[in-house]
Amino acid sequence: MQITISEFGASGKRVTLVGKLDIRGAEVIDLPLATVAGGRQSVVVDMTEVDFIASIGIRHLVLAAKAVARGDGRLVLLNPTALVTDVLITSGLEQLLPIVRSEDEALAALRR
Amino acid sequence: MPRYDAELCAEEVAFDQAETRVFGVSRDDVAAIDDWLELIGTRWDVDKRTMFGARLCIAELAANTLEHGIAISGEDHTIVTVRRRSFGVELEYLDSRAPFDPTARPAPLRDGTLESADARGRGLSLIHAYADKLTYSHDGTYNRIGLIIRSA
Repeated sequence: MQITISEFGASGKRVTLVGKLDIRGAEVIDLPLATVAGGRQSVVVDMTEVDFIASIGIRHLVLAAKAVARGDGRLVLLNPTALVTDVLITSGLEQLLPIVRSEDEALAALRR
Repeated sequence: MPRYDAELCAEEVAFDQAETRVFGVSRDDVAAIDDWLELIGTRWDVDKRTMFGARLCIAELAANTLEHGIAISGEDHTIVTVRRRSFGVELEYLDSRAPFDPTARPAPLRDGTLESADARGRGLSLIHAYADKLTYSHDGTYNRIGLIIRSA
């Protein structure tokens, strides 16, 4: 799992994840994701290149979303694959971890 | 044997592939199990969705053993067997930790708001959602969990 952090729009952060969000991937993203989420900015997690997700990965996304919300921001997931989307929906999280399919949609979601 | 029956038998033989491997109980082992299953799925040319479900179920079982299984000894281990079937993939997951039955359906999570959402506790629900068949027994040494993931 690789994690890259960059700017997104005027006041957000983009977290790009590549690889498996499994037990090993969750360990890799733990500290950098928590740091970004605690920064009082909205966060777009680019999931385009995440090819596997397990509940431990979901746990880190939920914890990050909670931290972002405490700072009045939003966390959205950008373009997860169909298989990863199915896991998120099956977990009942599509309302709490909104899924967007384009950068424009992400910008609109963060403005709400 | 009539030709039609012979062809059916040949198909079953072609699908009757199986591999078994023993792993420890650690974070590295949980990751190694998934690396191994991913490789098998590619080698056997199992469709992605079926193998994804198989990998997810085993990843959740292995993580559950690691995080919640009560250790019996320092030699605790897991044994994973994967079989390719004409209907999909059949798996058997054995772990030597204290008896635990994952077939009991977990209570639904109450995720009304982000604030109240529980970050944990989704693993068993995912297993129940992705496994078409889930069985459990304890043979005195191992928790034996059987799973079937059917191809769409």
